Amino acid sequence: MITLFAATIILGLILTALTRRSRRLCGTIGVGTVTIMSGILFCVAYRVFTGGPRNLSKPLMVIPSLGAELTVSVDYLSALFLVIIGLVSFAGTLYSFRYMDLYPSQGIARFYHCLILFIAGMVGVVSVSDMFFFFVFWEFMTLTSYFLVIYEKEDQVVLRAGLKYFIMTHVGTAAMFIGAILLQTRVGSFAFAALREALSGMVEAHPVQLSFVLGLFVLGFGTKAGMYPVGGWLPDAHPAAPSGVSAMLSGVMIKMGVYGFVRFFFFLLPVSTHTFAWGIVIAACGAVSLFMGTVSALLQHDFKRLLAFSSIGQMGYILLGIGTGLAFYEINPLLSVVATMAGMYHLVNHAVFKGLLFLNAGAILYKTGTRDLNRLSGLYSVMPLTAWVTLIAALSIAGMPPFNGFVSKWLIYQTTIIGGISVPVFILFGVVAIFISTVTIAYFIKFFGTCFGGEMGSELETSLRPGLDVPYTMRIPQNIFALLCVLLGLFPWIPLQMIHAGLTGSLYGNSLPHLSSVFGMSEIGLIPMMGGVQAGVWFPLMGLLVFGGCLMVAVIISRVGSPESRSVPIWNCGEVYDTDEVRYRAQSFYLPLASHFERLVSWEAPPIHLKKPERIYRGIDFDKVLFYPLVTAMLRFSEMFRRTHVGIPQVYMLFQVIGFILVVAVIVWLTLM
Amino acid sequence: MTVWLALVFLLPLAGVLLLLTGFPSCFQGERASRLASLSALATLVAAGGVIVQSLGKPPAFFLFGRMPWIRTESKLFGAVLDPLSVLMLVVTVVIGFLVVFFSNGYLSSKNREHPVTSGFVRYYAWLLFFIFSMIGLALSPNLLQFLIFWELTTICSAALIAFYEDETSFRSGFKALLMTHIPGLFFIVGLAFIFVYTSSFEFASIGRLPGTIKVMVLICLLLAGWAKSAQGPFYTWIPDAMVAPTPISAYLHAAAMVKAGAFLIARVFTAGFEVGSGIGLLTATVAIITMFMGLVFYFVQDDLKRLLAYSTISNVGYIFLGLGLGAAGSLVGLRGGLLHLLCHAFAKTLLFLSVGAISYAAGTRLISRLSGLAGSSPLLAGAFITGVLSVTGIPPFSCFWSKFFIVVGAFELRSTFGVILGILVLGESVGAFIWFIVVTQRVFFGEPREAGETFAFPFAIKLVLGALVILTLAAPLLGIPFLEGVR
Amino acid sequence: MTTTISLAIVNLLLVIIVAPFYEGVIRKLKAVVHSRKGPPLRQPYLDLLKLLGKERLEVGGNPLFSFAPVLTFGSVLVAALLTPMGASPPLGFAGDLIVLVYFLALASVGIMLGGTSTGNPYGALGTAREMMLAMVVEIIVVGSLIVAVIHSHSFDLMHISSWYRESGPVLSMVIAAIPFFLVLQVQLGKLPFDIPDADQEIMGGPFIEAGGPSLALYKWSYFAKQIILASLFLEVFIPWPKTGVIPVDILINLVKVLVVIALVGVIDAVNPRIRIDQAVRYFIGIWVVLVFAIAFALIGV
Repeated sequence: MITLFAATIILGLILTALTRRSRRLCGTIGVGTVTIMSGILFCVAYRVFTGGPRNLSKPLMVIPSLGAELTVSVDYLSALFLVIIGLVSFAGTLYSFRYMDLYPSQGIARFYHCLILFIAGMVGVVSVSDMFFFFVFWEFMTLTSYFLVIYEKEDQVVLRAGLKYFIMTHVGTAAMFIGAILLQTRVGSFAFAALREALSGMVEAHPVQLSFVLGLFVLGFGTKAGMYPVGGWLPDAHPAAPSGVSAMLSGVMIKMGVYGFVRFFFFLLPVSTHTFAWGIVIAACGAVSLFMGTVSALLQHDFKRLLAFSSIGQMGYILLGIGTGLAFYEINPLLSVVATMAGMYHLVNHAVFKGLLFLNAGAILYKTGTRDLNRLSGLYSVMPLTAWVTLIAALSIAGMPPFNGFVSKWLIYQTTIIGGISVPVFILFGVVAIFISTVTIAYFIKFFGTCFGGEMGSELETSLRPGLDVPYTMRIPQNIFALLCVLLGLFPWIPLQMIHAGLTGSLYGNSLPHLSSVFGMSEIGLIPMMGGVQAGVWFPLMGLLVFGGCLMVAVIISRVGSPESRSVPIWNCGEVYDTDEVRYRAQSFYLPLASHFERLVSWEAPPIHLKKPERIYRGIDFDKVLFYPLVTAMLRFSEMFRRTHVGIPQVYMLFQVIGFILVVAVIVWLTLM
Repeated sequence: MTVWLALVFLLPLAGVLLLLTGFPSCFQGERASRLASLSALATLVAAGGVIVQSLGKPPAFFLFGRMPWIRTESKLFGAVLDPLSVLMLVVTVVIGFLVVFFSNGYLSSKNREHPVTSGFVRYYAWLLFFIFSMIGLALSPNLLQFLIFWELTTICSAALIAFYEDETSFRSGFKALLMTHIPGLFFIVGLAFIFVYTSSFEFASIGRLPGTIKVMVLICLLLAGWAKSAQGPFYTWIPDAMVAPTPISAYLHAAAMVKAGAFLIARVFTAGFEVGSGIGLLTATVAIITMFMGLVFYFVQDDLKRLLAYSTISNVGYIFLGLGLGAAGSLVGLRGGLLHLLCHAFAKTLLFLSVGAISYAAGTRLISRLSGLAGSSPLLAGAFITGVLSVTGIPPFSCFWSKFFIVVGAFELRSTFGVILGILVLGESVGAFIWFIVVTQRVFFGEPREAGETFAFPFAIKLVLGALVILTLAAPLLGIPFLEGVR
Repeated sequence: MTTTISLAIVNLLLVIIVAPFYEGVIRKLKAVVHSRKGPPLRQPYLDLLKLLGKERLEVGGNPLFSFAPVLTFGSVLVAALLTPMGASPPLGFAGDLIVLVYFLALASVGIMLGGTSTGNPYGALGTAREMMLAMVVEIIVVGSLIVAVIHSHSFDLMHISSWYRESGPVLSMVIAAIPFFLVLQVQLGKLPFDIPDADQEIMGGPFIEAGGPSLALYKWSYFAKQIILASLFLEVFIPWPKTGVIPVDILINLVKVLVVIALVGVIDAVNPRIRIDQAVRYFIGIWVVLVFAIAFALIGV
């Protein structure tokens, strides 16, 4: 399998390089390569889920000095992530086939090269069981995504975004290096199993050092996952990248940070008081990200930036779920399992609906050429299909039943509130989460309402790209994801089973409760049991059925009078206005609330102006400090001697006489001694 | 085998002689470059033969000759083939050939920055002589031969720095000569002490010295090494040496000559005797101070070559740090330092030669006057970016592996000092990375300074850049397994 | 099984048929307070019937405009099926408290989608205000209910009410009832908080372009929400008396709802409308009360 994968990559790289003159051909080869790669990933995942974790028996590369071995091992957790990677990569690449027409002046082969290598990097991150090679692939993934972010390399804004991204993630990774090496020096090896021993050893002996290491890892993984303060690169980098890539960055790459969290905190860290403490820390970070991210999204009028902030917020949900799971491990194991599964399920859901949202945003950008919500309106008439798909995505992210977002958010609310009965601070987190879900509805209304509702202004109409909606290669991935949103919401059982399998081997160990004791009556609905009491219930199919029935009733009622239809223009109190004049622009939404939040959210670090410290440069400029003075001193010293050469022979004879007397005196003194 | 060794030594000499005597006449003037390239290529082949034959065999000595007025046990001159010398030989000869070939294209009247129309023979003669001296240094079996070739390289360096023969070049050349030679006197002093106490010039004989003498001798050798490698307070000659033609800067002052000081210390530390952790920590401390001194100067540079010079200072500091860690007890650190010697040589040469290509085609190497070059030459952009990523240590590029080894080595000491060292090293690495990415973006990305400008490079330049990219990527793959055999 | 279906039908009938009656009560009450005679109690039925027969006006060509009222009313009906109106909620085996709250939220979303779909600036303005109110108010609704959840350890409505019946009045629940009641005004679109539907200021807000059957469905949704929210409030915070005989319980519930609705109507009659920013600040103050309630709940009082 691995050779097949590697061969596909290499073949793809070569062929795209050869066909770089023809955009269509190169694109086809690129898409084909990624399709084959995704197919391989799905096959591997399928084999793992049906047959058990698979490892390569021999490591691919060994570095004995470090104790690092490139062992490829795919367990259930990795398989889950492989599925996500394969899915989102395939969608994003197929989408990019036509989307890249927006960049006619850039080389297309470069794009597909970076994309293929990027996917390879992500696959590498989840498939190795050795920390050193994990880092190698991690940084490689960052590197290739950097080149994808700055694809439009003439634009200074894009360049700065890429720079911020690369530097922030690199610093985070360097922090992780320190932590990992500190662990490695205890056991001499970077393999996950060895690191587990190292961590167990440190629990009793060096708790402070352990906290330091854990903090470094939280920092490092959090930077990639978009945790609030350190994820500040997200709002700049995701809009700067081409939209297919943004979908992959937001849909999969930041999930790699969560993979790191889960792998490290659930699989490597032994159970101790640290589990509880760091669970609360992670949950708190999640709650903060939730709040700050979503509230910032509310204030944006560049819709890709809005979606990027929304990603920060949704990652907060995931971290909240996982943190809750970690913290309640000893207090209420069933609750803990539900919470972890809820967090992971939100991860899967978020990959789907955020990927979809970015693809939609890209479609809007493709069609209209602008990202400014203030200038958009009435796009329904030119992009009806995209509008429906965006509606599904927006309803999913807002957590409306019966879509997938509802299920994971529902589970998170339940676990935090019921967990909060024992540990009160989780009630706060739960309340923040619920509040934020309303804010999520708010910004999606703003986004959807301004883009698709209403009528198109005349200046927008003239700048549109012709053709119905967007090309079908861009629509197919969107439709697939929309379908998934619905399916994942109706049949949560399937992903939950995969996630439950993914937790085997983790700190739950052998005491992982069987899935049916966690969720009673699970095939068609979810009844989380936490502490013996039925905590809640949701039967998606039943709910959908009833909802459909009620909709029918509503339709029947509305048709009962069999009225006629007539088409009329908008009523502006009788006056006729140009649409552009009276349109309610996006930035006017929520103004009173915005003033409350803006003070909170737009705190930026003051720009650091480092004046070049002149004194330091003068101090270490050894030329001036040391060498030149030395040389000058020596020259002056020899200058002194030069003055004795006066050129008068009589003086020289005087020197000789004096010298002779001196020498004789010394010899006489020596012989007398 | 001896035949191959002899060829390795004699072929560059032969080249020099042929150039100087002006025979054959078809190779005069500009065509001197072809003769030099042939000679360098032949040396490369010969060295390849030597290395292939020595793979897998234990270290071997090939010695001849004595000096009648110095009584020693073993013969004095010749070559030794062990992992360290093979490493240095590879670096010297491969990069030597590439630099010579690059100069074919670079040193011409079409060079927009420094058009050259005369002095070719002088250039190539000194260059080939330098290759010869470096080979002698790399293969030295003992400290005496090492010293002799050490001084020869100093002379070559001074001559080549002053190639353009203007006021600043002469001054810089003279400065380099003084600043490397005077601490070289410490080398002679140390060597004298060694001979007086042990009657031998072997590297291992340092271990037989009595305690305080040994420390003193080690410090003398360290001082000589530091001066040659531009560490500590002795760094000031390198930035000024950048007035040399770029291939020279690449070869002498990035790949070979500055590594000679590190190579000396490497030889001394791996000679099989107990160096003592005090010396090790001293080396490490000076190294880390040098690294940060170099870093501090990055941010005020406008000239790309001077930036690279300061980067060289920092990176050779890494090598010294690795060696110091090795002396303090960390094997991983030692291997890291040596791996860095290999990887940095290739990566830095790549960077310098890319800058050379930039100045060849664009006429300037000032950052403030360059922008948007990626559109002008994708090959150049690719080469430069590969170089930057390699030098700053981004996986999977070369110097990442060596830097990581060194950091692990620092932590392996398990003392607070080691941890602090490791964190400082990572900090410097991140700082260098930040600045280099910013510079890369300024120079290569962004709006092109002249729309639609494309660069046309002669074949020599293109081939060398391409070859170096491949070598830079391959260096860690070959180097890591190779170094498993050290100590 | 048959109980469930019959309860479902009962709930739906209550919501569809009986709900407009309560609206009539409010209008009559308001008139009496204003010293007017007021419309007859059956006036809302007449309004709805009239609207159902009127022309359907399509604005803007966006099918969401016609779909939004259907969405709103449909969500409200599902919410009705999830609400206990004297007896257990018929759909209680398929959805719990949070599902109920979210279906009500979905109804609001429907209103907002309808408001923005035409491009009428008043519509969008009304939508924005509705959303801002929802942001500060939803959390109060859920927060009050969380107090109950903390005590009963479950989100299932039947567990909550049976717990409360068993344990008797509790301080934190009494405190939590107050914000929930205040929020009823907002959810039902009554003064002083009928900001999104401000007839005089913004011409009806999201409903400006709705006419005929669409407007009928919107109005019907509001009527239905009255019963639903009042029933929810009563079932959670005042679940007495309970006889156990289902038809009797349903009747008792209807009487209690009448009392609540009457209170809502009186408040509506005597208050002016306040501005959106004032409303936001007011409710942020209510959050503080809720925090106390939750704190008390956590310590078990």
